[in-house]
Amino acid sequence: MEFRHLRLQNFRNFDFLNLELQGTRHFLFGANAQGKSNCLEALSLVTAMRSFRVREWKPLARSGFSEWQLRCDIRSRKTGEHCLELHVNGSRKQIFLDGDLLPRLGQLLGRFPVVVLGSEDLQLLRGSPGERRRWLDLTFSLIDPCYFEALLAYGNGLAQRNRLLKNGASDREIESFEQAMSAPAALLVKTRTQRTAELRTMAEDVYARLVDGREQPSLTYRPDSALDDPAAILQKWRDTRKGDRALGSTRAGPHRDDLRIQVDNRAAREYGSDGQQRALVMALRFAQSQLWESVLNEVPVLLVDDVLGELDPQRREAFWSLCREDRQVIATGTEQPPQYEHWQIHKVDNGIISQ
Amino acid sequence: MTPAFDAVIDELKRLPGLGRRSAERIALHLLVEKRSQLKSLQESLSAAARTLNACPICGNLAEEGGPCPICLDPTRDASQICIVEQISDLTAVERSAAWRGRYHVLNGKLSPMKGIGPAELNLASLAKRLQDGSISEIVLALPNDIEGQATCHYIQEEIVGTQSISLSRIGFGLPSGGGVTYADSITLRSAIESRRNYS
Ligand SMILES: [Zn+2]
Repeated sequence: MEFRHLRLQNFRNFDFLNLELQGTRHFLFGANAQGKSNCLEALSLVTAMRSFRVREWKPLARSGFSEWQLRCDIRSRKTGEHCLELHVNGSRKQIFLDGDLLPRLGQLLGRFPVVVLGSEDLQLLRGSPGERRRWLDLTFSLIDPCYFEALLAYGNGLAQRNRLLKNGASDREIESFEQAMSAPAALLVKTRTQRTAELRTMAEDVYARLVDGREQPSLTYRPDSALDDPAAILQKWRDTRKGDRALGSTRAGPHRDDLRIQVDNRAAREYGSDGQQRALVMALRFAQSQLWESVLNEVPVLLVDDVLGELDPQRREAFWSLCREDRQVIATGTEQPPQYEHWQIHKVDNGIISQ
Repeated sequence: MTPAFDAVIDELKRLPGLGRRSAERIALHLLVEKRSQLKSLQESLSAAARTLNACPICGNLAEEGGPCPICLDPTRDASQICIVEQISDLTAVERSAAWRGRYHVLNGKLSPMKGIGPAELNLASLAKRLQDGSISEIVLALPNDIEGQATCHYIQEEIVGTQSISLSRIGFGLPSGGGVTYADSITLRSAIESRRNYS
């Protein structure tokens, strides 16, 4: 896919932005805090209406405003030209595709894949299991509608079960919800196991190109309870219910899973230099992109937020060898890169972008 | 506009499916454009409020304190009960003309997050209907979401229990997200005809 045009109103520090994005190479440069990353953040929303920087939506509105809008013209390889609009007013969000309201987020997933490489990415290695789970969930939801539905259903079931545990409800009522949750739980565990194996192969391949050493990265999906069949999950919940009642929350299940990331059998967050960790995270992002491309038959746009400057020349070259010419790349940095002749350069200064 | 008008809008907006714009249209229509309709609407609403009641047997709409027309109809098979979440689901199944038994309307589904437990549902009267052993088949036509499924499990385990009643459920083929109410007649008919035993 390719962005053709971005329009923003009252988003972050932009009162109004009109940005032409024809072509596959764009570079936004300017001093820090002028709006470069805000621009990438806005573009990244088209994938799953999720920001790569914040989980709350409140900071996305320009200060003093509760209403903001985004409008993107996008060209898809499969389905042609589209116009995606997002209207936000406080907590109310409306998504319009080609003028029609999309009542459910699921209808958007898988249409406009965008991969973000940002300085926050190291959280994937260093952060909590929740960070990695959210990344896996996004990666798989985009290519598998059943996975996304199971995720919503399981999350809903979990909230209901926790409420029952806190309220001291009857075993019968709790068990009824466990029954209903067990099938989506099993589907999540099964899909994560299979898809993580695919991601792993892809990540190993990319990592070998970025770091020409003999180190081998490995990704292992670690189900909290190694349960991928509904009956086993039900048994586990039955066994842990008494303790769960005391805590008022559910301790076992796919919401506790982790993705173990290792290099040469050592935990990646303790391993290697900052540069090696960055290369590993980059390998994960490219693996995500490859997986999406293989299933969706759409080349994801790459948003590169201020990380190219941190790569040494050899890795930078390897990075570019991974970006085919037909892939749109929109990057940011604090200096205008001298070596990028084919780029369209946009200067960002205090919420205003000029060519 | 005016305080009295705004108060009407606020009341209308609380009705299901009405946003601000539709509420305004309805209020203007009744209060300004078609004043005569207001009176007949008022009269029919208060007449209905006086005479309508929930059927003491199944929870469907009924009049004058008695059972509903379906519970009174001798040609309907009294040994078969189709359990639905709400009256609009019953209407949808009726439209499909595929069901010749009777109904039971729960008036909701289990949802602890919304404060709806078994006591909030029309379950006590269901248990009472099963007591004399005259019911031989139950069809669960509940939504295919977590709450609907949990409600099915609960009814099976707590209300039906070990009684020898054939229990089946429809809803597997229904479009996800939409409930029974929004399924078209052909979909509902084929779902009812191909209902499968539930265990
Ligand atoms: Zn009745």
